[in-house]
Amino acid sequence: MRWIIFLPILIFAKVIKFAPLPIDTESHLYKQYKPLLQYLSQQTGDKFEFVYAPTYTGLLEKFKNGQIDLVILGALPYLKLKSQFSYTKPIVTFLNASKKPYYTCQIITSDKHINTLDDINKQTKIFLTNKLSTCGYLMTQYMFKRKHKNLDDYHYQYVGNHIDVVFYTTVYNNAIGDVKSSIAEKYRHFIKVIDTSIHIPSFSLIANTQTLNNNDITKITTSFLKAPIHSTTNPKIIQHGVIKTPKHFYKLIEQISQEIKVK
Amino acid sequence: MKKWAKAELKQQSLLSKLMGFLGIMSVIIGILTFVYVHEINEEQIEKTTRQELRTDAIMVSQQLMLLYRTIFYAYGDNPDIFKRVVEHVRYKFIKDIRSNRLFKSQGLLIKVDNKIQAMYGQNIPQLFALHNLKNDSITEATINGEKYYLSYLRFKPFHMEVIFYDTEEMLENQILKESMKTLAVVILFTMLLLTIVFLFIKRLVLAPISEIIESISKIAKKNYQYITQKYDIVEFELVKKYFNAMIDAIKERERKIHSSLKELSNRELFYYDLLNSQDDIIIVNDGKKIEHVNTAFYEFFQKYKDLDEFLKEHQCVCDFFEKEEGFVYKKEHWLEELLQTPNEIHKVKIKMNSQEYIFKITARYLEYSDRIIVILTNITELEKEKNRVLELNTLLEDYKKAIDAGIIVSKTDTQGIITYVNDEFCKVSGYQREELIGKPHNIIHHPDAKPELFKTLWETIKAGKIWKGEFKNKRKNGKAYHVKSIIAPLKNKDGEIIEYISLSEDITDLIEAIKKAKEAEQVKMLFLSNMSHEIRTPLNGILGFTELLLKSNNLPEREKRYITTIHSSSQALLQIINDVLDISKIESGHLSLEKKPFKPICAFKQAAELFKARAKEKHINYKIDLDFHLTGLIISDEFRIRQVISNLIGNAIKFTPENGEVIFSVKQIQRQGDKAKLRFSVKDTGIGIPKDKQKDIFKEFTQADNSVSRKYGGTGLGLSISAKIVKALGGELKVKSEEGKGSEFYFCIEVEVQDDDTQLQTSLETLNIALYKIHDKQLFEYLRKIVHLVEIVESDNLDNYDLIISREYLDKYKDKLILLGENNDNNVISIAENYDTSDILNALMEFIDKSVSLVQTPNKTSFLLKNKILIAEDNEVNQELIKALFDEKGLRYVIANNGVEAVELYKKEKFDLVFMDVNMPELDGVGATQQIKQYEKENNLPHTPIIALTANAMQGDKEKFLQYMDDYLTKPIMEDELNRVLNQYLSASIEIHNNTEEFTSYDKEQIARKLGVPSALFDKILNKFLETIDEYMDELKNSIEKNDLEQIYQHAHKIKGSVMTFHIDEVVEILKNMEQDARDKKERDYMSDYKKVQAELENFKTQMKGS
Repeated sequence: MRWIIFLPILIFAKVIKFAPLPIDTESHLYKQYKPLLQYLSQQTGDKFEFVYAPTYTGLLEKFKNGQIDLVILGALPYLKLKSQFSYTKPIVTFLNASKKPYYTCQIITSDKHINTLDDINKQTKIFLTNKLSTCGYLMTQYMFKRKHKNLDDYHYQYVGNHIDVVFYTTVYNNAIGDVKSSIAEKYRHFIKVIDTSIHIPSFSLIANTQTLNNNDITKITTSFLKAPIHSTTNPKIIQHGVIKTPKHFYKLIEQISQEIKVK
Repeated sequence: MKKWAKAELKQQSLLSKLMGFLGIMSVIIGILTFVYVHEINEEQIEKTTRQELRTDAIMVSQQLMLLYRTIFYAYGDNPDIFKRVVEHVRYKFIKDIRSNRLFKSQGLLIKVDNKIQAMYGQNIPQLFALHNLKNDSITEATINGEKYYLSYLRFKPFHMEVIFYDTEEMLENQILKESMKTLAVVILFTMLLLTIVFLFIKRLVLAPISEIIESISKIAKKNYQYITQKYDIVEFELVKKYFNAMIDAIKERERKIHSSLKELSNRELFYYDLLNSQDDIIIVNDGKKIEHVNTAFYEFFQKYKDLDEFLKEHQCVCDFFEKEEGFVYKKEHWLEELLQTPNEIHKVKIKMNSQEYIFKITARYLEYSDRIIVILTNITELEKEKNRVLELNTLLEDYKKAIDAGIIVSKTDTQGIITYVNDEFCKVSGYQREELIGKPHNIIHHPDAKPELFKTLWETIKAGKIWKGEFKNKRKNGKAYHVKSIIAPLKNKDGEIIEYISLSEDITDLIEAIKKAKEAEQVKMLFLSNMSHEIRTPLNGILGFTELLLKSNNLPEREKRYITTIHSSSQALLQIINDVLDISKIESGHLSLEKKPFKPICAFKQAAELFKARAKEKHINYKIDLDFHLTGLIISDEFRIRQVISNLIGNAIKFTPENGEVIFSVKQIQRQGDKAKLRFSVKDTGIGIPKDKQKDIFKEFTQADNSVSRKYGGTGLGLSISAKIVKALGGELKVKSEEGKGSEFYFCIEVEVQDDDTQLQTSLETLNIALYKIHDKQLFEYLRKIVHLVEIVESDNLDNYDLIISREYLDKYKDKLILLGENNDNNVISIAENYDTSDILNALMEFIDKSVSLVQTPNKTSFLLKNKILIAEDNEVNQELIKALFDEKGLRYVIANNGVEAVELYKKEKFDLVFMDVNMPELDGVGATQQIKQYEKENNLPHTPIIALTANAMQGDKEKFLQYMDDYLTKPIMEDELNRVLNQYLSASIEIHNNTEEFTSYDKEQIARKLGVPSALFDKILNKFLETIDEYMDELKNSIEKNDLEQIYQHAHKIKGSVMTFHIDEVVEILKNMEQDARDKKERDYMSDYKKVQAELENFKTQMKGS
């Protein structure tokens, strides 16, 4: 008889289209997010529909076309979206394992001769994750600039993910890499940190203000804040809890991203 | 040596010289090539060496990277494990490199933390000390004047340095090897070229010459063989052409000569054969006079030595011919006529030594001559054979006429197409012959005919066998007719089937007659059924009430006598009705056997014991002798065997005078697998049967003497029925008898045996017996085979034994005593001093029975009283009788007057048992039963047993009612049968109610009773069970954990065997399923079943220990 609870939703509800990060297959993601969407439906009385876009580009396009009302994005993809489409609003930010709504990037090395960025030379190998990663070009260049250096003058290469960055950094002498502070911490016995970035906002839930009104956004925000954070049925990303996104949370990173163009 | 051979040698020698020249040239070219290649290789090999060193380094580098990445991803976040794994992997990697030299480089050096860990190749100590090597590159170094190429690789995460190296000397060796290889290739190529040239010349020149020479040489041996090979050289082609033409000419001449010779030879042989022929008489005539005769001539006309002697007496052979009409001799110009009509058959008759011979005579001119040859062929035997065939043919014609007069004959080809029909066929089928020939035989098949019949028919006749059977066919006008046919295949001389012949008889009239007879039989059966019902209903009343009256103690003696007479007369009347019904069943072929498993000892013993009282009345020494081997279950018709036994024993007691003896015995005389042959015998010391009457006693309504009937009563049907039942059971009832001395009626039947742990066996097998001061070897040996323990005991302490056999009366142990010999205590079982083995068995069985009955009696009535019974019966007399019977037993009951009332009552009250009359007004018993069952189903109620109660006792009644009801009682109701039903269903109902509890409750006494053992003995069996069951269960659990299906099957089977003894029925069912599934290799959750079994066994153990 539980279906009776959902009966009004089925008949009268507004349909809100939700898209997660495209980090897994559609079926896996659907399985992960289904309980959350059911929870939100119950809380708001609206019907939450799962939308899948296999790439970041596709995801942003769908958002802009009004095919997505809610999307989870990291800082850099969000800023990219915001620069192209002004109807965006981060409403809640997900906490990480340290219960923080932000993270940092760190420059690491395994070479005993390198202790600061000043010790690198033109032969130094620089390993980065990928273009869209905040710890990729953007933050590395930011930290280089702080030291009056230009990343473009060095030999850098993208190796895919944070662990690979650590891996290659340990294999070669005269090599450095840029990874999330949580990863650097995990592999601290191999490497040493020679520089740390500013605080970068964690993943946030971005609302499409063109398709959702203030009332919808408030309902959704409240529902998220009330969500049972430790429930194992929730997707991993929200298992450590959420906060309402601070008003100027993205200001500094937005400024930096405007100054530094990712290549 | 022939010239051509010498020429060939010369030719070959020239070729060899040519080949030698070519070989030398090739060697020179090879050496020059070697020098040139050597120069080129030096540069090339250096380049290759560098590449190889680089490749090896890259390969190692990639492998290390891959290993490191794997370790890093797996253990990167755990430094301790990571370090250990790295060391282990590094060790393994170096070990692999050492053992598998997969690298192309000549030398390898591996250093870990600047210490050498592995190396191979030339040992150059200075190499270790090199420090100026550049990572991931190739360096040249000179050590001890030797130039080295070194590929250096440093892998930081493993703290490893790898150096691959090649020396200049190695390089030179390499170059030399390469150049030698080139030289070898050139030499090989030259030799190959040489071989090809040689073969080419040989094929082009030498081979044709050799072939021509060989062909010419064959001519000398008269082997004229053409040259067929095609030559590329024109001259050889010309030689071939003329040579073949020469062969043709020679062959033509040879053929002509051969032909002439052959003709001559043939002619010679022909005449030789002619004149030496043993079969025919040959006479060569110049036209008038005989010139020559052959050997056969003299042999036939034995009196002439030679031709001259013959010619002295005769001018013509025709002198011998018989002068008879139709023979050629009469013609004046017989020889001319013979010559002119060579295609006609002429015969002559010759008499020799008073025997007549017939000859075929022919004459013709000899080739290349004007002489005439006359041939006389003896055809006397042939003529005789011909006459015989003619006679046979006439006979066959006569047969055919006779068959055609009454038998339907047809023939078909192998495909079933009609090829022949006789007039009778046409007459019966109504078809014209032309309408049938060429048509399939099924043109006359009736639609009702079963296809399987034709399938079998074709299978039989196609296999070359004869088929016999009946058909229902269809006439042209559509009407059916029946034929009885024999169809046989007709074969050719090779044994192949070419046709089928069918001989049929029209049996339509016969079939019709049988049908009518069956209808009449059915009418008769219906009449008997109705009569049986009508007679049994009043008899029910008479027998029931007389039985009740006889139980009354207040009846005056005279009335009691009258009632006894009425009762016995009614019983006799009932027996007559039963006999008449049986005979009618047998006659109509409706006697069907109902074979099912039963316990023979119990069944035969019960049947036989019914006569104990009657025997006792007549002071007859009545013995029951049953074979111990009958303790298992057998499959047969228990009811019918009991019927025969009862009849035979009844007769024996009837015809045996007072103080006589009747012995009933059953022996297993043969056992093979699950089949056993039993011999039943009833032996008496009665009046006996005269020899001349012994044949007739099995006939219906026949007794040995009419006076017998008058004196002893009876219809004379009993033995006839018994004989027929025994026949149906597969045996033959026989009699051995001597007038005045007695008779033995006996029969043997084969039964199927099902080995089973029967209660009796269980009871016997657990007995500990003491033979108190009895040193009887036979008794000891017999008991040892059938009981658990038997000991000869001299001591007076016999407490530890379940049973004591003694000659002395032991008051202390009277409850477990069997006396051997004289017995003055009726409560003690005894065995006569002149016992046989069956007496022992009987005594043991009696002892077990006594023990059980001691346990059984007190509870019996109490549980009956707890139950309530619904009786549906419309007949008032029957109602009264049932009331009286049930009142006497103290049963609670409610009576319904018809089916409708019964259903209504059932819905209002809870009943434990229902007796349902079948024939009732408004709603009959079957209808009422169906409604009750429907009501139970709709309301989810447990099923209440319903017992059919009817006077209908015809064939099929029982089966009909058992489709709806649970059991069946015939009226008049016999008390024994009623008790059986009450005991069976009322106790069962208690069990059903108990089953609804969470755990089944177990009553020790009840189990002991079911098991058929006294309490003390039961305790012993129970203790043994409790001691072993845990171990068994552990074994079962282990096998489930290992998922060993074979073991699960075996342990479940073993435990099932144990728990069956104690009637732990729930567990038995679960174990049965486990056993079955495991045997079928079914993968499933056996553990949950195990837990259920374990729980129930714990419950059982607790209750047993508590009680």
